[in-house]
Amino acid sequence: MSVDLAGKKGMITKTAQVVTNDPVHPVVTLTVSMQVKDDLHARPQRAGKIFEADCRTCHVDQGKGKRGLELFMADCFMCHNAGKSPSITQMSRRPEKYLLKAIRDGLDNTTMPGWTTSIGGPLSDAEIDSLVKAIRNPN
Amino acid sequence: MKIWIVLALCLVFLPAVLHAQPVVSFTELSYNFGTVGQAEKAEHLFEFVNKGDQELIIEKVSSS
Repeated sequence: MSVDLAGKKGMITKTAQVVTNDPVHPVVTLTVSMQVKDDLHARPQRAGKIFEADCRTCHVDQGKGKRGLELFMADCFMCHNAGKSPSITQMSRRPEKYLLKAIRDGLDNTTMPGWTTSIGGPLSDAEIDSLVKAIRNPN
Repeated sequence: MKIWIVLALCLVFLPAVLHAQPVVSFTELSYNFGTVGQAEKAEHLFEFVNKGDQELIIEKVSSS
Protein backbone atom coordinates (compact mmCIF):
# COMPACT_ATOMS: atom_id res chain seq x y z
CA MET A 1 0.00 0.00 0.00
CA SER A 2 1.43 3.43 -0.83
CA VAL A 3 0.36 6.90 0.22
CA ASP A 4 1.06 10.16 -1.60
CA LEU A 5 2.10 12.61 1.12
CA ALA A 6 2.42 15.74 -1.01
CA GLY A 7 0.41 18.57 0.50
CA LYS A 8 -0.62 16.52 3.50
CA LYS A 9 0.00 17.36 7.14
CA GLY A 10 -0.95 15.91 10.48
CA MET A 11 -2.32 12.46 11.32
CA ILE A 12 -3.16 10.47 8.17
CA THR A 13 -4.96 7.14 8.05
CA LYS A 14 -5.54 5.16 4.87
CA THR A 15 -7.46 1.90 4.48
CA ALA A 16 -7.70 -0.69 1.75
CA GLN A 17 -10.32 -3.39 1.45
CA VAL A 18 -9.34 -6.71 -0.06
CA VAL A 19 -12.21 -8.84 -1.32
CA THR A 20 -11.51 -12.56 -1.78
CA ASN A 21 -13.38 -15.78 -2.21
CA ASP A 22 -12.63 -16.76 1.42
CA PRO A 23 -16.18 -17.59 2.59
CA VAL A 24 -15.43 -16.84 6.26
CA HIS A 25 -13.53 -13.56 5.78
CA PRO A 26 -14.52 -12.32 2.33
CA VAL A 27 -13.44 -8.73 3.08
CA VAL A 28 -10.22 -7.85 4.87
CA THR A 29 -9.48 -4.24 5.83
CA LEU A 30 -5.87 -3.10 5.90
CA THR A 31 -4.89 0.16 7.60
CA VAL A 32 -1.79 2.36 7.52
CA SER A 33 -1.30 5.49 9.59
CA MET A 34 1.35 8.15 9.97
CA GLN A 35 2.07 11.60 11.33
CA VAL A 36 3.05 13.81 8.39
CA LYS A 37 5.25 16.82 8.97
CA ASP A 38 7.15 19.12 6.65
CA ASP A 39 10.62 17.81 5.98
CA LEU A 40 12.26 20.28 8.34
CA HIS A 41 10.24 19.05 11.31
CA ALA A 42 9.97 15.39 10.36
CA ARG A 43 13.45 14.60 11.62
CA PRO A 44 15.34 15.82 14.68
CA GLN A 45 17.56 18.69 13.62
CA ARG A 46 20.91 19.57 15.12
CA ALA A 47 20.78 21.87 18.10
CA GLY A 48 21.15 25.48 16.99
CA LYS A 49 19.30 25.01 13.69
CA ILE A 50 16.44 27.08 15.13
CA PHE A 51 18.74 30.13 15.25
CA GLU A 52 19.16 30.06 11.49
CA ALA A 53 17.35 32.36 9.13
CA ASP A 54 14.53 30.05 8.02
CA CYS A 55 13.77 28.89 11.54
CA ARG A 56 14.28 31.84 13.86
CA THR A 57 11.11 33.62 12.75
CA CYS A 58 9.07 31.06 14.68
CA HIS A 59 11.58 29.84 17.24
CA VAL A 60 13.41 33.02 18.32
CA ASP A 61 11.96 36.26 16.99
CA GLN A 62 8.60 35.74 18.70
CA GLY A 63 10.33 36.26 22.05
CA LYS A 64 12.06 39.55 21.28
CA GLY A 65 11.54 42.05 24.07
CA LYS A 66 9.83 39.48 26.29
CA ARG A 67 10.81 38.13 29.69
CA GLY A 68 9.83 35.32 32.03
CA LEU A 69 6.78 33.25 31.19
CA GLU A 70 5.99 35.38 28.14
CA LEU A 71 9.42 34.59 26.75
CA PHE A 72 9.00 30.91 27.59
CA MET A 73 5.66 30.77 25.75
CA ALA A 74 7.10 32.61 22.76
CA ASP A 75 10.40 30.74 22.30
CA CYS A 76 10.33 27.58 24.40
CA PHE A 77 6.79 26.23 24.47
CA MET A 78 6.89 25.11 20.84
CA CYS A 79 9.32 22.35 21.78
CA HIS A 80 8.61 22.00 25.48
CA ASN A 81 5.08 20.91 24.81
CA ALA A 82 3.12 17.72 24.08
CA GLY A 83 5.84 15.28 25.04
CA LYS A 84 8.51 16.44 22.61
CA SER A 85 10.71 17.83 25.39
CA PRO A 86 10.27 18.16 29.16
CA SER A 87 7.28 20.28 30.10
CA ILE A 88 7.55 23.38 32.27
CA THR A 89 6.10 21.36 35.16
CA GLN A 90 8.79 18.71 34.80
CA MET A 91 11.52 21.32 34.48
CA SER A 92 10.27 23.25 37.53
CA ARG A 93 11.57 20.40 39.69
CA ARG A 94 15.14 20.87 38.41
CA PRO A 95 17.66 22.85 40.45
CA GLU A 96 18.21 26.44 39.40
CA LYS A 97 21.87 25.80 38.50
CA TYR A 98 20.89 22.97 36.18
CA LEU A 99 18.32 25.10 34.36
CA LEU A 100 20.72 28.01 34.02
CA LYS A 101 23.41 25.80 32.49
CA ALA A 102 21.00 23.94 30.25
CA ILE A 103 19.57 27.15 28.78
CA ARG A 104 22.92 28.94 28.52
CA ASP A 105 25.02 26.08 27.10
CA GLY A 106 22.44 23.64 25.75
CA LEU A 107 22.36 19.90 26.37
CA ASP A 108 24.65 17.44 24.60
CA ASN A 109 23.03 14.78 22.43
CA THR A 110 19.71 16.62 22.40
CA THR A 111 18.12 19.26 20.20
CA MET A 112 18.40 21.84 23.03
CA PRO A 113 20.88 24.49 21.87
CA GLY A 114 22.74 26.98 24.01
CA TRP A 115 20.85 30.28 24.05
CA THR A 116 23.40 32.64 25.58
CA THR A 117 24.77 35.41 23.40
CA SER A 118 28.30 34.47 24.46
CA ILE A 119 28.13 31.35 22.27
CA GLY A 120 26.08 32.85 19.48
CA GLY A 121 22.61 32.43 20.91
CA PRO A 122 19.93 35.13 21.07
CA LEU A 123 19.38 35.57 24.83
CA SER A 124 21.10 37.83 27.31
CA ASP A 125 21.93 36.76 30.87
CA ALA A 126 18.98 38.79 32.15
CA GLU A 127 16.59 37.08 29.74
CA ILE A 128 17.90 33.64 30.70
CA ASP A 129 17.57 34.49 34.41
CA SER A 130 13.95 35.52 33.83
CA LEU A 131 13.30 32.20 32.07
CA VAL A 132 14.76 30.20 34.94
CA LYS A 133 12.61 32.12 37.45
CA ALA A 134 9.50 31.51 35.38
CA ILE A 135 10.26 27.81 34.95
CA ARG A 136 10.92 27.33 38.66
CA ASN A 137 7.67 29.13 39.51
CA PRO A 138 5.32 28.32 36.64
CA ASN A 139 2.21 29.43 38.55
CA MET B 1 -18.52 -55.38 -3.80
CA LYS B 2 -16.78 -52.70 -5.83
CA ILE B 3 -19.76 -50.42 -5.55
CA TRP B 4 -19.68 -50.68 -1.79
CA ILE B 5 -15.97 -49.74 -1.73
CA VAL B 6 -16.64 -46.76 -3.93
CA LEU B 7 -19.52 -45.65 -1.75
CA ALA B 8 -17.43 -46.04 1.38
CA LEU B 9 -14.63 -43.96 -0.12
CA CYS B 10 -17.10 -41.25 -1.09
CA LEU B 11 -18.41 -41.13 2.46
CA VAL B 12 -14.88 -40.71 3.75
CA PHE B 13 -13.76 -37.98 1.35
CA LEU B 14 -17.04 -36.16 0.76
CA PRO B 15 -16.85 -34.07 3.97
CA ALA B 16 -13.35 -32.93 3.03
CA VAL B 17 -14.46 -31.98 -0.48
CA LEU B 18 -17.54 -30.18 0.81
CA HIS B 19 -15.47 -28.23 3.34
CA ALA B 20 -12.63 -27.38 0.96
CA GLN B 21 -12.24 -23.62 0.93
CA PRO B 22 -9.63 -20.89 0.67
CA VAL B 23 -8.52 -19.19 3.88
CA VAL B 24 -6.85 -15.81 3.51
CA SER B 25 -4.34 -15.02 6.25
CA PHE B 26 -2.47 -11.70 6.46
CA THR B 27 0.63 -11.44 8.69
CA GLU B 28 -0.59 -8.00 9.86
CA LEU B 29 -3.67 -5.88 9.28
CA SER B 30 -2.29 -2.46 10.22
CA TYR B 31 0.98 -0.57 10.09
CA ASN B 32 2.08 2.72 11.64
CA PHE B 33 4.82 4.62 9.81
CA GLY B 34 5.41 6.97 12.74
CA THR B 35 6.53 10.48 11.75
CA VAL B 36 7.27 10.99 8.05
CA GLY B 37 8.22 14.00 5.96
CA GLN B 38 6.05 15.27 3.13
CA ALA B 39 8.73 14.50 0.56
CA GLU B 40 9.12 10.90 1.70
CA LYS B 41 7.44 7.88 0.19
CA ALA B 42 5.14 5.92 2.45
CA GLU B 43 4.95 2.38 1.14
CA HIS B 44 4.25 -0.82 3.02
CA LEU B 45 3.91 -4.40 1.85
CA PHE B 46 1.13 -6.44 3.42
CA GLU B 47 1.87 -10.14 3.00
CA PHE B 48 -0.67 -12.91 3.01
CA VAL B 49 -0.92 -16.65 2.44
CA ASN B 50 -3.71 -19.04 1.61
CA LYS B 51 -4.08 -21.43 4.53
CA GLY B 52 -6.99 -23.19 2.94
CA ASP B 53 -7.14 -26.13 0.56
CA GLN B 54 -8.79 -24.37 -2.32
CA GLU B 55 -7.53 -21.68 -4.66
CA LEU B 56 -7.66 -18.18 -3.16
CA ILE B 57 -8.82 -15.50 -5.56
CA ILE B 58 -8.34 -11.78 -4.96
CA GLU B 59 -11.53 -10.46 -6.47
CA LYS B 60 -11.19 -6.75 -5.77
CA VAL B 61 -9.05 -4.22 -3.92
CA SER B 62 -10.31 -0.73 -3.12
CA SER B 63 -8.76 2.01 -1.02
CA SER B 64 -9.80 5.17 0.75
